[in-house]
Amino acid sequence: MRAMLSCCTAATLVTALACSSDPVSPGSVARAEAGRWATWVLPRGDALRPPAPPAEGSAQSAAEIDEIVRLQSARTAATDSVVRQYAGDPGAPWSRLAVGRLDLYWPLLPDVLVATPVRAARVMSLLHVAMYDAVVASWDAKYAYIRRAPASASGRVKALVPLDGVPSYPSEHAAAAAAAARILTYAFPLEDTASFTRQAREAAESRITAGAAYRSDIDAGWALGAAVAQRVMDRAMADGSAQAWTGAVPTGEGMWQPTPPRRVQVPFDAMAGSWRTWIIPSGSAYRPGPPPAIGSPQFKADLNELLQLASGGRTQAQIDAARYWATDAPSIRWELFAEDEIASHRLSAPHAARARAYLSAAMYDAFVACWDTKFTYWMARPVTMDASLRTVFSTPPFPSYPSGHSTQSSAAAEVMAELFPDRAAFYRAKAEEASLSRIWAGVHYRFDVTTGEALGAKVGDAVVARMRSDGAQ
Amino acid sequence: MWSRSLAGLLALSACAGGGDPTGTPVVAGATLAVSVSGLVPLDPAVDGRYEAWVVDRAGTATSLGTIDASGDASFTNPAAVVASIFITYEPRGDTDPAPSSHRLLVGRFQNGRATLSVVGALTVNDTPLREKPGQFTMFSPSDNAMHGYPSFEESGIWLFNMAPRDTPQGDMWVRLTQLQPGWVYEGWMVRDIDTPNAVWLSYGKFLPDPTGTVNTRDDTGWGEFSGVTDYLKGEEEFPGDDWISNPLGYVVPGGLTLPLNLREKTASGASRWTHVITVEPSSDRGEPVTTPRPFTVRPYRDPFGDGGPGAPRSITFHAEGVPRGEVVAR
Repeated sequence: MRAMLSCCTAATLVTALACSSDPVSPGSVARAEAGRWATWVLPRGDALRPPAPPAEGSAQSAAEIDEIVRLQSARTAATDSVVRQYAGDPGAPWSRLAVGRLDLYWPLLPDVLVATPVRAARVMSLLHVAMYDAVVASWDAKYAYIRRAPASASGRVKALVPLDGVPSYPSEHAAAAAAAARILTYAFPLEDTASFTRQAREAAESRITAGAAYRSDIDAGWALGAAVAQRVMDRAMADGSAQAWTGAVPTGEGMWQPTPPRRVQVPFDAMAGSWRTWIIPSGSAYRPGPPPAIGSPQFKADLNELLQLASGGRTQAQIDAARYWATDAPSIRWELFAEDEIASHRLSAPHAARARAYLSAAMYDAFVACWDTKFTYWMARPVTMDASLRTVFSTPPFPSYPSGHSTQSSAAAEVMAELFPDRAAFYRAKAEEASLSRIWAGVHYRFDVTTGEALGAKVGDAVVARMRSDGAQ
Repeated sequence: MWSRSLAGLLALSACAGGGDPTGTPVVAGATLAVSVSGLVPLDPAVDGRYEAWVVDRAGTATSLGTIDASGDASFTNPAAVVASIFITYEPRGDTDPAPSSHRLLVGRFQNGRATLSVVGALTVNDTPLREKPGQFTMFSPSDNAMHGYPSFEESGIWLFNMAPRDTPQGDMWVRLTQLQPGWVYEGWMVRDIDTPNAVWLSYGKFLPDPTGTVNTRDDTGWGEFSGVTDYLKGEEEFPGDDWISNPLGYVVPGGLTLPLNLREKTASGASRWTHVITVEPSSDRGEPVTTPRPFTVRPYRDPFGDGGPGAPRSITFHAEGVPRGEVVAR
């Protein structure tokens, strides 16, 4: 069976490339073993395995082939465009859509509290975990049933996209799209949520026109993705993020106070340190010791460093870097780095989903650990300790120690180094730049940054340890 | 400082070359034919006037006289050999014989001609006005505490990049060329621009920081037609205004009805509202927003369009909105 599949796939691939030169086959290959990779909310990849698909040659399969032939005979430039749009990695469109929505909400802070640093990382982790489990579950079923794609099974059907020899039932594109639509609807309830589902259906059904999937592949994949998403949402609704903070800001020398110019009275996500984590045991598991005492030599030195930078010591490059890292929610830059790497390394659907899930989970866990520390010590921001300090942009409205950028970037860099070893040095340098940018901006002391880097490295190590035991190595 | 430097440069050139660096000397008694385009009419009693000045080799400025909005004027050069010429905006009531700090156009004579430009007059370090500053964004923060988001977003305009990666700078801040001390930027929404019934609504005046970054609020905060009574305390980090309600009972300009719909279209589907950034004399800073007087330098102008919340809207440079001209000496 495997030999026949490969033979048919090769022929189909040639046809596909002749039909369209845009879609590109993955550079990495994921076969049956991807269905056995460790999952996040499912106990195992086969936990939701759907019933067997209609047999090849059955009446239902024949009817579904007829449908594809009809769709392909009615092809237009518009339908071909949609096919091409969703021909690549099944997770990429939804990851970019989520980034786009978070980009919208980031500059609306603090007026609209959707894309705070921790919440933005949480949204991406929910989305990427859901898509990963959906893809792994679809891979389990694909190799349990090994159904040939329509274009491989019938000479009447053209392959408008590369088929890569992966069985078609259930459709991983449908599974990822359905999971994404549900999670995006949960995460962005103020948006046109119906459009998320419309786009997801369009993406899924484009695979039918493409000759890559039967309708029954799409239906099974869609049901699988929706079921996984429901489990992710059940977990999300109980992760502590809905709990309102009812405490009081502590008072005393060196304690956080609302900062100019907005002087937001309620710090962002004061309870986030207690939110449920993905990999590390809890937000407090790696809690560092307290910051240097106010008035200590280290505190004075680190505050003085900021004052010197502000009094003409900043270079234009430092100012530009500070603004670069402050323009999105901190995790978003790393999400975009990952998208670029996934595309350039041409990862298969399971490998791409895995990369996204680990990176997002690491950054979320890093933020939870960072917020636990921030709201344990309630360290005052530099501008509070010296009102003459001029920052490059406004100081974020939550305590200083440790730096969120440093913590999450350090964790992210370790995950990126594990995923893309050829780029390890580049991403570690990026993490350092992200860290230092907060000093250059005048919004963090150096001790915030060094402690954040150490904390993030611990989170990164924990995530990498899981990566090395998830069955995907 | 500028005059002294120029005088020094001219003296150096004269020593080195032994002749007049301008080619054809513009001597006393020569006729100076001035032609400027892009000036809006000024009412001297209310707005002030445009005035032309020549600068001699010693760096001394001498008035030629006023110029009306036609931009065409002819003067007899009253000074000794002239190096350059500039046009100022002189505020209402300015009787000082010296030129104001509002230099609008400047040009150096080369072979008896001077090209007049805002570059180096309005702007610092001879830098041109930026071609692609960034984006303006539909957003109304002043009612979020009351109504949440999105609510009345089509009633507000704010100056930040909603899609940073679509801008040359790649971050959320708009960039504008730094201005000389006599000038300030002002943002506007204009209904039915270029018609006799045009309504200009200012959202306030602002300046970029020394790097050209627009990162502070304008001089009117959220604006008096925002959803809060303490609109001046609107500590946004970007210029902009909301036109949602009228808690203090101001006169609503032009018979407009609040909340505004800046996405409003004409019967033919065109955008009725246009976003404009002007350059204004800084002496007007703090004027009541209900008495707007858009000045003649209007380099940025874009239809508001129909995009929903989060849609990026680019700020684009329009050379035709900037005065320019030429002076010919005979």
